[in-house]
Amino acid sequence: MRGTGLTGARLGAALLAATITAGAAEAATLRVGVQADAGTMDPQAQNIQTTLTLHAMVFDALVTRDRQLKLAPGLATRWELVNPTTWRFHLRPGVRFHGGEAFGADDVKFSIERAKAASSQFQIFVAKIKEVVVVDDLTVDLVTDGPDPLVPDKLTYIFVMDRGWAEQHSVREPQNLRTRQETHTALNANGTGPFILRTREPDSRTVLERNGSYWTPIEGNVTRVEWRPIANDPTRISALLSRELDLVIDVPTQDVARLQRDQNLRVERADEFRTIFFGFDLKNEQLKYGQPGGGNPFRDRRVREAVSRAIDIASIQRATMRGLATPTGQLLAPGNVGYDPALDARLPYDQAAARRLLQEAGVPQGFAFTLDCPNDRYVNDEQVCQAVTAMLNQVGFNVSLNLMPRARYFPKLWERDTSMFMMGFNSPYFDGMYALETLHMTRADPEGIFNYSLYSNPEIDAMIRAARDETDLARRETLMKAAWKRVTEERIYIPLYHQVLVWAMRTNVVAPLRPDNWLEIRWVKVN
Amino acid sequence: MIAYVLSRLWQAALVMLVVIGLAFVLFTYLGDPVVGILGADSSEAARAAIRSELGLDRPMPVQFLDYLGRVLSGDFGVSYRLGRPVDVILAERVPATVELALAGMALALLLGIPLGILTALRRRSAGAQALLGVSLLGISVPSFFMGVLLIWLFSVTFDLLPSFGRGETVDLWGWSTGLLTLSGWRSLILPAITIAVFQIAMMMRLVRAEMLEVLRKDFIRFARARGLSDRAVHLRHALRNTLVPVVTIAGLQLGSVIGFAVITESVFQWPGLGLLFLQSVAAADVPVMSAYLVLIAAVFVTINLVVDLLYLWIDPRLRADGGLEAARR
Amino acid sequence: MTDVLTRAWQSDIAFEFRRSPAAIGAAAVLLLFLAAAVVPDALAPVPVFDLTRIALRDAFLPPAWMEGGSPAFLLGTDAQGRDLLSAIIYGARVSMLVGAASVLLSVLIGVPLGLIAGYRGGWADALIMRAADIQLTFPAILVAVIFDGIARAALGGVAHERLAVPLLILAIGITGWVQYARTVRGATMVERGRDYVAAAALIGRRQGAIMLRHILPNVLTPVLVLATINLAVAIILEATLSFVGLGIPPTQPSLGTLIRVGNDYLLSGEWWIVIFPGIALLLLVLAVNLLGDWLRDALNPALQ
Repeated sequence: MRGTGLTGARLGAALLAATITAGAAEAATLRVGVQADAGTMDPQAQNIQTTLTLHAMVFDALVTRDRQLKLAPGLATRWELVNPTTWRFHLRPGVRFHGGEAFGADDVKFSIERAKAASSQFQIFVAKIKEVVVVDDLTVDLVTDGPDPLVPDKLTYIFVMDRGWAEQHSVREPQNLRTRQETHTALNANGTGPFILRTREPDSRTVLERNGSYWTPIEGNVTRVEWRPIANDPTRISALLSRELDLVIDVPTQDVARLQRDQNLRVERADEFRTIFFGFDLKNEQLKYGQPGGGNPFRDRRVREAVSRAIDIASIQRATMRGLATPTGQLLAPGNVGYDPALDARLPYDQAAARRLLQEAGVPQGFAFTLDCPNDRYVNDEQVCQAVTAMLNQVGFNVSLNLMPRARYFPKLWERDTSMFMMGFNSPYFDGMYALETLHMTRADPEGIFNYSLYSNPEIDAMIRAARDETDLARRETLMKAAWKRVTEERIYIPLYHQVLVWAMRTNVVAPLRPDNWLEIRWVKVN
Repeated sequence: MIAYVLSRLWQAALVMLVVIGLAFVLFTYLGDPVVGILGADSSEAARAAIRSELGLDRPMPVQFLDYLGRVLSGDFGVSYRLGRPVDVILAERVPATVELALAGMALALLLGIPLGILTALRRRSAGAQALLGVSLLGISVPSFFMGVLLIWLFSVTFDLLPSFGRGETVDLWGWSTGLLTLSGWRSLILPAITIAVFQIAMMMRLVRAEMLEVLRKDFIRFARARGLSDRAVHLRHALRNTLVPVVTIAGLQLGSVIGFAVITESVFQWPGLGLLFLQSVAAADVPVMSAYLVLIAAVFVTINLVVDLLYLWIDPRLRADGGLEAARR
Repeated sequence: MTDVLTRAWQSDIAFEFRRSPAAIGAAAVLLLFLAAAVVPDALAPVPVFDLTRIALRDAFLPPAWMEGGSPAFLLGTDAQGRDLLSAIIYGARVSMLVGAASVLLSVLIGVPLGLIAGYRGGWADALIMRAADIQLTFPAILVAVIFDGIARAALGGVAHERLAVPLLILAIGITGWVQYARTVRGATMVERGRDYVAAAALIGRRQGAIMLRHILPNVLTPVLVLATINLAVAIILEATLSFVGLGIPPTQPSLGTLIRVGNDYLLSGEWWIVIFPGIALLLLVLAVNLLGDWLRDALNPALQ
């Protein structure tokens, strides 16, 4: 019995291999393995990278990016600033949605307003747009509340839906979890994008087919996309190794070396725009999770500097991250507006200097506190926090590590219920202002909404505001660099490294990486 | 007899009520669904709004009564994570788990029972001793480790079988089955083995123990004394009397298979209820988790009820407190 | 208790033991693990819980006999640069502690309940046995998952981490009491009918005393066998829970936690991080099972 079983299996494998080879020649199917599925097909309900990746296949935005990451025409052919607070967008004629409906200014107005709704996760991108005015069927004006030079950049995140379709299926607002009925957009999508959603089995498989009447020639040759979420890392990698997948866009760092050795696979990497760093409670007089009566030594800049110097970043980079991290001294990745290479040098790893700094700060024996870390959010977050815990203990701190899944971790940060925490941050439109504004300013949402340190310094607030409200781009960048220098030297946060993005694919697949981890399906070729 | 059946039914209802209460309490305190809904980058006001919209700010007893009422009417709400009705999601996942559990169960019964009988009858033979040793290994390997090793061996090293998922499925009147396609069968092999190894070993050992017990009984001795052949004694008397406990064991094993399916599904990314449960725990998807618990409880209560009644039907003299404790875990 | 053990020892059991190589081997392996549990510092090259003694520089070193290995780390190191042999020794200690304590807890709950149910009968019996039935409706693994989930949610991060071991013991322990209760109840009902019990009752001994002094010693043999077998089950349960991330946190790893963490490195070529703890777990469970099997047969000559 065992014998026949194995023979049968081998036969099956041979058959399967034959089908794959035959299939690749005519219809190019791309099977993409991802760690987590998109939570919905609603384009304004979930602002998570994997969700955006899938949605970008089905939907278009007004503005897109070319291979150099420069803004490029999408559903809008061109745009201009009519006056300091009005952007005019000229729309592409002749575009149709997958359901056959014509695309027009009405749909743009609808989609932008939809992104402003309460249940939208994309409010931050359209918050400054006060009004959407339909000039004619192919022209819209966006009126902003004060000047906003970044409107076209922000619009790359706003996918356009068909208004009629949305109204017909009662999804005028982004997927709403109040309703006891199923939201149509959970499983259905009607966009103008290069691919059409065919079947959707959440957490298991989503199948897309090429849009034969796309408004521009598609460079790539993929005709069918199979989107396969596989949460378990070894399983996902096994599936790639056993040729059940063509492309994996979140490769665990430790498996990169093995994948590189496989002749049938190619591994590509790029510096990702995501910086991992630590933050501290910088407000309370007494650390909430510290020594009773020990005060809050983190408020002393020298203590934060001691933390920075106690971290053996080279070992983390080599052992934990397998080289897939670029150590950094600032919170902004290269390639973003406002980045300053001069700030990127880390304080050297020096245990003696760390101990000396603690002595100067009046805590020569170190002190006890709890470090909060997620264990399912960033690449190797758990391992990095464990390593840092050991390193801090070696210079005298007495650190307890508190690891949590993200579902519990982020609410804790929202409540500012932490003494030291780990975070990763990327700037969504290649501009350093977002991080300055949300991480460093005194909290007054949306200013400082991710300022979990509760840091507050009016002088720094003023510097950031000055840069933000500057319309001259060159001057704006100078002001931003000054602000970055100030906050970096203040050591409000302790940056660790920028993540390196790794995709692994079969050798016959050509898929260009983007540093914001965006899979541009129109560029993918399967040979 | 009717009183017995009624008391069993009453007990089942009580268990269900306790479980529903437990599910509610547990998942009210487990994690914050708001992160999943709004994402980590959300504003305070939006979070407060969602909390009140979901009714998470109401007093606990009100939330419970509301929950109980909805569960009784079959409404488990909408998944925080997937935004779809929970009953629909569960219904989609049931076929995968049922097919996996049945495959594991079939292996356990088809191999476990004959092996158990064989090792009982040929108690002193070298083969039986060896089998017994192997079975000991079988109950000593944790199933997650087994699954990891099987993937390593058959998917990665020898590239013979798929390492994840169900392969192609066919929709049969709303039941998505993987049993009608080659890739479906191929995908089933490793998970089914993973889940079955422990059960085969357990089944074999339990059947052997039961059989030995029966063979020692007086009526077997009398049968032998009457001059009946070994074969007749074994088949007609011993086997028939072993059947009763085997039914119970099988029922309990089915429960255990479903319990361990959680682990197997997680290792093989098998899109069944167990995987759904673990994914929901990670995302603090309260409605799905509580519905899973209630559903699983209902399944187990039903299995137990059926086993007890079968027991009664096969042998009315026996009441359901026989000597099968060892099988119960 | 000592009474029983002496009596058991004076029976054929010592002879049986000498006759069984499997039992001797299992006992030897188990003794080694016990030593690891009692005096880990004497066996482990490095005290792995001392954070000032581990260095990330040493991470991912292969076993000493392989190329690139270091003689300082016989079985290699893990992702944090911990000596794997030491981690296994400390991990086995946690696994055994959790296993033994949860079995003990099951015994401590199950035996008295079984005694009461068997001796008193009536409503106490009915109540206890109904509770047992309800408990049996659910497989131990699901009960343990739920229990640990509740604790995790109720206590939150650091508090849970500190209490992880006692909580896990509780979670596994409460799933096991039924078997003892049922077994003891059955045996008690038999013993209750015996003459010596009736005689003790006649001379005015109190019920509690009768249960403890007369019945208990006579029902302990099956309890001992069950406990041994269940120790293996409890250890597997602990490992499984830790593997899915519900059990022991990585800062004080058990064998199951080591396997969970190491599993990430199975494909990347650092197989030793998962394989060695896996083998250790397998050996431990196998030894306990072998011994339990042997004990059951030795104490129950009818089965031979």
